[in-house]
Amino acid sequence: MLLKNIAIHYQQKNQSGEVVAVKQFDYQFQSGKTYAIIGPSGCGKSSILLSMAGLIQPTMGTVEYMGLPLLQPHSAISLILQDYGLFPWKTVWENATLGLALRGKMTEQKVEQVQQILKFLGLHELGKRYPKELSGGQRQRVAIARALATNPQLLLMDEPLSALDALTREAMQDLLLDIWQRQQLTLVIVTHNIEEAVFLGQEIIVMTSSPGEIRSVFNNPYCGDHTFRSSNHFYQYCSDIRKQLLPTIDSLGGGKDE
Amino acid sequence: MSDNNRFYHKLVKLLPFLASSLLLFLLWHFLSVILNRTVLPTPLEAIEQFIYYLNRGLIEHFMISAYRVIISLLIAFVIAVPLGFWMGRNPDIDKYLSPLVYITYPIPKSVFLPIFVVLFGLGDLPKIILITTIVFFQILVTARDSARGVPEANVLSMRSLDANSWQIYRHVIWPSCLPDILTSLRISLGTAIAVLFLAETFASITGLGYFIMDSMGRQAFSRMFAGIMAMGILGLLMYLVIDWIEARYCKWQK
Repeated sequence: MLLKNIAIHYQQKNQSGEVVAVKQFDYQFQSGKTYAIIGPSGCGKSSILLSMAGLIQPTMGTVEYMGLPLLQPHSAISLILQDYGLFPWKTVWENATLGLALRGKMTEQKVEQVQQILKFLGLHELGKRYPKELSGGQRQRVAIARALATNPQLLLMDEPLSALDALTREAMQDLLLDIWQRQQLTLVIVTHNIEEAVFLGQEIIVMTSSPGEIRSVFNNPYCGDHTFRSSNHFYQYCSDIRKQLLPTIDSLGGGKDE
Repeated sequence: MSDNNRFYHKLVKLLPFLASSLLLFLLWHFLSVILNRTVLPTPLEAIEQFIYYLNRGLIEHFMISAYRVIISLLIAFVIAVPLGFWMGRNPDIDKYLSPLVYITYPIPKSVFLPIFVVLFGLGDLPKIILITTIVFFQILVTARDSARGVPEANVLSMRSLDANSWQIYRHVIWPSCLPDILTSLRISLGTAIAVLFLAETFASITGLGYFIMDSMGRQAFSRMFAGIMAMGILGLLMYLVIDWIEARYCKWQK
């Protein structure tokens, strides 16, 4: 996935002006690696993710996937939204298989595959439940199951763990690493959380405040090791990234919602 | 769960309904006793007359009225829901159609009944057109507002799964709006039955409205109450059908 000098502007509602969400973003995401994009609220990280999912087109520059311009959602790319994007009127099973059903790919083999994914995620006995009958962590796992059901090569996640308590959040981070290692996919996660970015990103992209652009990139060779969280390297990375983020937060006077 | 337990649970569920009905009948009874006029018989007399007239034309009138109101609601539903969704999801379309709704919605359509009768005769058609016209707007406005309120995150989630417009309507807009639409149907049902009564009292010789007014003309008040009870039962049955649809298709809301 190649983002070539993209800029993203939005038309302001009921106003004639434009909001610049992303000033400039130029980056190549390599296959099989994990990436964390971190930055203050309003820096355009979610917009970058939506453009990588083919859901919005950049105002300037191009998004290329497998050497071709990405003009619409691609079957090899899955996106998990901040509030999980689950439908309350669909059961766990219906939510998990929705992507397959929409693409008309509900073959016996695929159904078997989804059953295995649900089993791996500990959801196999909850198939008939509705999202409101699940805990936050379970809902998150259903969203992951749905994303994995279509067998993606690239998994995009927008603040996927922000609504979870600290312990569930760490368990889900471990699970994401397991999935990444098992499925050998490319993982791009957008987050506010420094510890999460350090634990999950082999490359950590730090953004400036609005309008967003890349401030710095950290290479993190320790990512993938489940014990990394309790090492000195982990704290060092967190500290370095915090230093990078502090000026952007100060310039905002605290931060605002995206 | 054993049969006894099941019966007990059903009874517990029915209890509030039975208690309310009993209260209503008691109030009616006391009112009838206090008033002591033939125009208001006691509930027992009315029930007796209701049973008596069932095989003497009441069922036929009931079926005709039920047919008129069900067909009207179905036609209004089939046209208003897709149109409401279309308006709610397309601001450009809404911009042009909404003023039309605002201008035509407040007009009391019942005044058009004589015109419908002249145009379409004395049969079912003018009555169905009148009820449909009135109920249509209630469902349309609800469907439009509900579709407009569907969170964009839900639509985005569907688009990320490569869903086309039809799939977004089927899997997101429709199920998301269904509870609101069923509520509007409940409200519309009351309106529909009130309009049905009006339509059947004007240049008509069939239906419960006619049965009631004909009884009044003959000063057969017990017979009139049998008709009123039949109309109440018609409303209640349809209300129960909507409840059943909600329980069946909106399970996720429980």
